[in-house]
Amino acid sequence: MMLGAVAACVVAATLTVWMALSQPSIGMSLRWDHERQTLLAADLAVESLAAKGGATGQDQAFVLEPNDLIEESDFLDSYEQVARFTERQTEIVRRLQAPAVQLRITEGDGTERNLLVSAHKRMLADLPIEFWLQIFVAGAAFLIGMWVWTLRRGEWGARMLALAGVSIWLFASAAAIYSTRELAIPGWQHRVLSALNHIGALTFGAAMISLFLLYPRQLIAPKRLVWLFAGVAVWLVLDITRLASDPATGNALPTMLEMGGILVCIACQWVATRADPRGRAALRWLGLSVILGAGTFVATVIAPLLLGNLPPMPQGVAFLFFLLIHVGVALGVARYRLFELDEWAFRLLYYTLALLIIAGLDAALVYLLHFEQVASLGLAVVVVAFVWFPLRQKLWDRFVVRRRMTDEEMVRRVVGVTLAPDLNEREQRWRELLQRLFDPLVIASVVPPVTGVEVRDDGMELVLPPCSGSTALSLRNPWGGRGLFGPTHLALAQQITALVGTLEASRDAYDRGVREERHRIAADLHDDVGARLLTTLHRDGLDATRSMIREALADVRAIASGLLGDSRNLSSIAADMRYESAQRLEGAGIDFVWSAAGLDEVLVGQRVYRHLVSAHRELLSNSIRHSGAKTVEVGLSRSGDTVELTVRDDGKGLQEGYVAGHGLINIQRRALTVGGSVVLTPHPAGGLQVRVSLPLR
Amino acid sequence: MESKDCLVVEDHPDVRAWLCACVSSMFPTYRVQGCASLAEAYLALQRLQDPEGLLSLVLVDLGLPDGSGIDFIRQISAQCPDATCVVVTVYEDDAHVYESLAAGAQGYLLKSESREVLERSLARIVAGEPPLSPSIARRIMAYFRQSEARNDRQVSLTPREVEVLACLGRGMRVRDVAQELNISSHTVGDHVKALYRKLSISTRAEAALEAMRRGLIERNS
Repeated sequence: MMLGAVAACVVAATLTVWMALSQPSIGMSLRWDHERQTLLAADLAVESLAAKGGATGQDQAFVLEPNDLIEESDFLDSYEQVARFTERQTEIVRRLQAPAVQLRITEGDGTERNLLVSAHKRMLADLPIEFWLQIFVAGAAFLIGMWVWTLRRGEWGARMLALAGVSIWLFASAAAIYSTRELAIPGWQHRVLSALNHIGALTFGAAMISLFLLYPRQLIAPKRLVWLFAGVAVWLVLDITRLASDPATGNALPTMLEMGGILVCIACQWVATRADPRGRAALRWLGLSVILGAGTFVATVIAPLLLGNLPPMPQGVAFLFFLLIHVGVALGVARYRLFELDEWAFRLLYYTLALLIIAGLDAALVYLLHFEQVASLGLAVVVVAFVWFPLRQKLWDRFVVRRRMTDEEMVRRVVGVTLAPDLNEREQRWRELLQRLFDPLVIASVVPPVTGVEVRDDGMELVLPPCSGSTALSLRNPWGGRGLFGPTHLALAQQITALVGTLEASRDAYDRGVREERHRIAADLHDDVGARLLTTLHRDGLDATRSMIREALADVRAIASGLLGDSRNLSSIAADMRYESAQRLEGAGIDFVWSAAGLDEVLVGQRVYRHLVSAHRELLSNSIRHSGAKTVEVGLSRSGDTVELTVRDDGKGLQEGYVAGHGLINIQRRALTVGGSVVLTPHPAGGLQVRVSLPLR
Repeated sequence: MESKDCLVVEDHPDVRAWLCACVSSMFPTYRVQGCASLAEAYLALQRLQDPEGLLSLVLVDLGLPDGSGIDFIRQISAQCPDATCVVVTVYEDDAHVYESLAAGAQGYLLKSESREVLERSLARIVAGEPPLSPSIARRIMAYFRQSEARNDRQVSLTPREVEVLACLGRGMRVRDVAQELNISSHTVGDHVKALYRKLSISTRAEAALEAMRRGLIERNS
């Protein structure tokens, strides 16, 4: 649909340009000089022109008048003048079509001369800026009208806006052709175009009145509009057939009346929407655009005509005011969801514009620069990529997304929320973040809490689930009450809540880890160091006490090294174990034999590591202290998921009536807590073998 | 026979007295002087500054009330390279021990050891048979491997030294290493001393290089 509209727009513009180009031109920029009462081309006064040569031979000189150059025939006082103007235009065109035209000119010093020129077809570059302005206004209004209608085809408001767009396109295109002629346009063309201009202008007014009768509130039944359009049609017939008393009555008067009608309808809507803030917002925006746009045009062009004066600015430039209406509609859609359209509608518009710009640049480059077609298409793409797309992104961010934060700042703030020291602070920071993101007028708790982010009340309210110490929150009237929540904002809110959730989970996991670690340290301190020191307290003998204290210090060392969090693999545990065994047994004058098997780079958890090391140390102490052994064999091996420590001595072995001491009991207890086992077997050759098995996982 | 000087830098009075007694009994000819803080130690060092350079043994605790013993070790190894520096520590904390070795210490002792073990270890260090625990051996190995990979090594290890390091890293005693590599225990001790020295030279050179780099960067920016 939009593509069709773009195509229609391009075809119409091409047709308009073609008609403008087919007008004859003598390549002079003519203007009327009030002081010298003559037509000037540069500083040459042009008095008359006559066709020379050709079938007609030489004509009489044709004296030019100021009205021949008038921009808009509606500015003339009577229909007789209009008829005369049309005839003279036809005559001038006829003369200009001769092979040569003789201009009678007066130079600055008063000498009169004849100048022979020949008229040719106009080039694109000859068309004045006013022409392009009107084409632009026509195309833009048409496209925006079509855009809204495409997306809301069933609605009367949108239909009327589209009709208004078509009307603007009609009157602006028609006016573009005749009002920017160089000197003359064939009379019949002028008559038709002028009529089209009037039809467009009055239809536009009627469409606007209808729009405000039906939108935002439907004030009357749409079928009643037939009467309005019938009235307009009658007036148009009177004007075109010149049955009205003069052009002012035929055209300017109904335009004024329509403007009055628009104002009245807006006032009625104002009253009708008093209990409907959304409708009021839409009306405020649309009404303001129309009053500013159409109102300014009427005030600067039509009102002076009714009062018998000429407008203070060219009509073609004044047409720009109409664009205000449609630009206003576009902005209204963005800010207040005018016609209930949402941001996705803008993508359509942007892409349409991008398409148009590509086509336009391409055509312009091909025509004006006579570029190779491929090269110019490439250039157009480059221009769109480097100028339009960044511009479009800016527009999108500015008008549509309205995220006032960079992603970086957002993440920093979200992290700030989750890492705040206490719940109150977290809630406060969370609210601040939401305030910064959406700028709502109201943030309040909602009961019952929701489980996911929701947009409610047609975009008036955004509801967030409980998050980071905060209860479920409701955000109302975003952007200081100037906007509504759309899908983009819903997605953003979901993203942020998810991010906060993830961060909270990892923070909780971290906190839990810290707590577990503290528990473990406390348990280790209590079970190992505390128990050992207690035993020492009740032991006689200084040497024994000293050695117990040394072991307690070794426990502290092991706990401390666990704190430093070095991850341990089995082979390095074995190395340390071997080294320590050798040091201690040698010190006690006992031979030491080491064996190891299956120890690869297997990582061992902190708990198993601690159990393994303290069992080894304890068993070694027992052998040194009690067994009277000559040789101690220490072995560490792994099979599958089980690691096995064996300490075997050739000492006394277990005595009758043996009672396990604190050390051995501790080893057994530790082994049990991780699902391992301790087995004591008398060595066949005397002595004792202790085997400690611990699961690695 | 001229008498040699020994400094014992240790803040805890009982431990200091105990360490002094250990040294005196092992090396009766030494003049042993105890220092309770770094300040005292620097003062003592100044007083000992004589042309003969008789300072031969220094025992340094790492955690001193007015700073880290590592700084003092650095000072000694720069000023009296012939003196033997030994770290005396409560906990066998790899990171600190390694740092002391890099600063120039030639051995480390645990305060919690029995007097016999401590004295024997001390005698070994002075005789040139310094200890090297598996974890420290692994650290040294990783350090040289890394600097080799960075290709900025100032000093490189000989293949034999690498072999010795690997054995020590697996927890072998000097005796086991000698047997494994078929060399004498004394040679193993020499390798270990060489390793200590290379580590200390290498880290010092690296520090100097780093300082120069930083200086360069600062000058340019």
